[in-house]
Amino acid sequence: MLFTSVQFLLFFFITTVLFYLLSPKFRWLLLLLASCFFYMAFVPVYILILGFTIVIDYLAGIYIEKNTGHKRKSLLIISLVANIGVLCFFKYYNFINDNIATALLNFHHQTPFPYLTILLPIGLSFHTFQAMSYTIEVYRGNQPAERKFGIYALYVMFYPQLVAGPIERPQRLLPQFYATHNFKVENISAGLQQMLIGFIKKLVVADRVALFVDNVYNHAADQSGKSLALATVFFAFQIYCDFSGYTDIAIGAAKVLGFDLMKNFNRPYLSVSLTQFWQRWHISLSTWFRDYLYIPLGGNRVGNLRRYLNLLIIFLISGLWHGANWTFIAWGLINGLLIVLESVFKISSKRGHWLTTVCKTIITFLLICFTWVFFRSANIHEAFYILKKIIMFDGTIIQSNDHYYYAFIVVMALVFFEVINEYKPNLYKLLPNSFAARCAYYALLVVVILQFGVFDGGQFIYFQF
Amino acid sequence: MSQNFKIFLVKIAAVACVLIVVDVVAGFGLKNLFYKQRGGKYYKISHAVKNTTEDIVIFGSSHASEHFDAPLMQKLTGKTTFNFGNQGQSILYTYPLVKSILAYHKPLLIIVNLDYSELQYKSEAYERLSILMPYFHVNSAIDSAIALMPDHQDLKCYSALYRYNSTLGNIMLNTYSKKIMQLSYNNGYEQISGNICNVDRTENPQNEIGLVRFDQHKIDYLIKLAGAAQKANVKLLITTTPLYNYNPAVKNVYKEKLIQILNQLTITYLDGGTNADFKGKCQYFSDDTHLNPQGADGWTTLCSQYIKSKLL
Repeated sequence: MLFTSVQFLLFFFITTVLFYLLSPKFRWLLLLLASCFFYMAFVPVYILILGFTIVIDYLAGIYIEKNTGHKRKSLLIISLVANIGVLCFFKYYNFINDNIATALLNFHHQTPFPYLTILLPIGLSFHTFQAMSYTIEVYRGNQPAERKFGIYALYVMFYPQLVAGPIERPQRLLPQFYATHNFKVENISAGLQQMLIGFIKKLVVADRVALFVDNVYNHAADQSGKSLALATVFFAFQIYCDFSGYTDIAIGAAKVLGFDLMKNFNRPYLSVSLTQFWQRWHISLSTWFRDYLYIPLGGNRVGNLRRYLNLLIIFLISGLWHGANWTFIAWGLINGLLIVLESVFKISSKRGHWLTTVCKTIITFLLICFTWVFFRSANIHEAFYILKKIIMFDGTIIQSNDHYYYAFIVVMALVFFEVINEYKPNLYKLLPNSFAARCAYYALLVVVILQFGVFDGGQFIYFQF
Repeated sequence: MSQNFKIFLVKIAAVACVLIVVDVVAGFGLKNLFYKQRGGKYYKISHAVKNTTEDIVIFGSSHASEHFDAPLMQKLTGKTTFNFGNQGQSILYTYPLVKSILAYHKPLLIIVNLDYSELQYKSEAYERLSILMPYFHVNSAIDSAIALMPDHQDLKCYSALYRYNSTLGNIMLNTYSKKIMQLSYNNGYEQISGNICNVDRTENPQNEIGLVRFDQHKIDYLIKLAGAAQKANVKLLITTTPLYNYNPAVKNVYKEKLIQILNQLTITYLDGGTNADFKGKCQYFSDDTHLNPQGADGWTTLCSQYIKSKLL
């Protein structure tokens, strides 16, 4: 059930109405049932996998709290192994097996492990990380173990953020399930507005731009360097709007129900350094890595060489988290290397003179686009082939259909609004704020979605992770 | 019910009313602009549903739009001709348009080009029916084709704006761009250039069949199409245009089924797929299945001679 489908809108409407009609003490149950239904709309049987890790983590949380010393650590390890084990099996088994098979073939041997036709449970990486943050926080003593199984299950399964985040922390989300969410017009209004923005990003920008990008990237051999360069720039906007559009819908849907989810994007392409980009892109994942991996590895307290190594490890794991493919590993490593280089050359994330800021923003954006080539390519060979063509920058840009014009217009519009939001947010205060003006604003957004939206664009890119 | 909640409901109702009015008004405006197009894929359909007067009408996919040189056929047969072929379309698109034309006009001949694999189920064939969405409620044949689309598109079409989704670019280009109009204002015939003489063609993908899955909707539409033409007393010719290297020795269940149905319905069939005048002649093809203008002229000439001698 995609967020952009009519089925979801109907599901969301019914859930919201029932949520506010029900007595507050039963609302968690409604949300849990709704979340199960939402998840089972993809591949029903995979709820059993989710159920398995939920039971393990729930029990682990309680026993970690009850015990002391080594036993606590053992329980934490059991929980982490169970979570990472499930993730590795479904996400990396075939990838590892393929690479073993290739390696063994060089020695004229065949892999003893069979290739498995398994479908990756949707959003597995997201809810695995969210579940892990719970047991780690309980282990650290920052979060009391959740006694109500249903509430814990809901923490992992809360449908707005179940399949692609934001990856929440137990301290933020769990108490919200105990709070009474009274019907507040401002919550409904703010939530629906954010959902509308999310729909615009996904349907009008991401899926529209994808028509051009897919056309070029799926036939890379027939494309000119200029077309590939433009498609890469467009892909940067596609993936941003696809993911942040999803996040806006998730945050908005949760807001309608009275829940606050964490901000996941903060105009990342206006960053003036790679370091700043990663503070503004997929914030819930970056902070997860910071809190549960980077700091335990020594954080900034260790020497420079060790810190650089830690950064590379984090980005390597981040790449692997995204997908079981060498392209994602390369993408992670390149990001890590660029961050290390910024650190070595002490490139500041501060904004200075406007011209310096513009130059640094453009350079950062181009470096990010360079990394996206690996993210978007089907394999490493294709990535290098595309990069080679882009560097040659030959030929002309394909303009044979209207995809190019649409993509260009929507990307320009997006950049315009991002710049205004970043540098001149006060401009919005000049706009009238009467009910009639807001009606006109909603009407305009709906017209834009219905006219320029792409309604057969398929699922969100990050669902596959 | 609290006062706050009442105000909220009133505001929601007001917003809903505004959205409905905007949808109707903007949809009406777009509709007016939409029918002003003078070229492009939609112009052909608008021509079909509103003002066809031609004697020979041609339908099909790009294998129709790029292979039947309508002005040349007009010259060779002495009968006015229009090519309604549109890229990627199937019999699911052809039938409602033929029905639309027959509702107000009686052509002398309907030519429907069908690929050998026409009766194979392909989900894209249904998605591509979105081309008919601006014509929702124009007639029942078009509405029933839209109803075949996935994701309840027939329900979504009740939004006047949604019907014209993604059409603004086409409207601008095909109403105001002289270049585009010149390209596509050729009685519906579209040219594609180039040949495959310098291209390595070691593969022969068109002979691969894969998992067999017939499309019952397409079979039904083919039967209905034949019935509609017969009822209107209009001659019907089914064609398959030339292919570069089709191997007739390879069993093709879709082709067999197509020919079986055409025989049952006693429909005239001109099979150019294995025609020796074209097979293996790289100078006629821009790819394995598409003729370039030189090839299209050859095929149109062959068809015109056949039509003149047997059907007109």
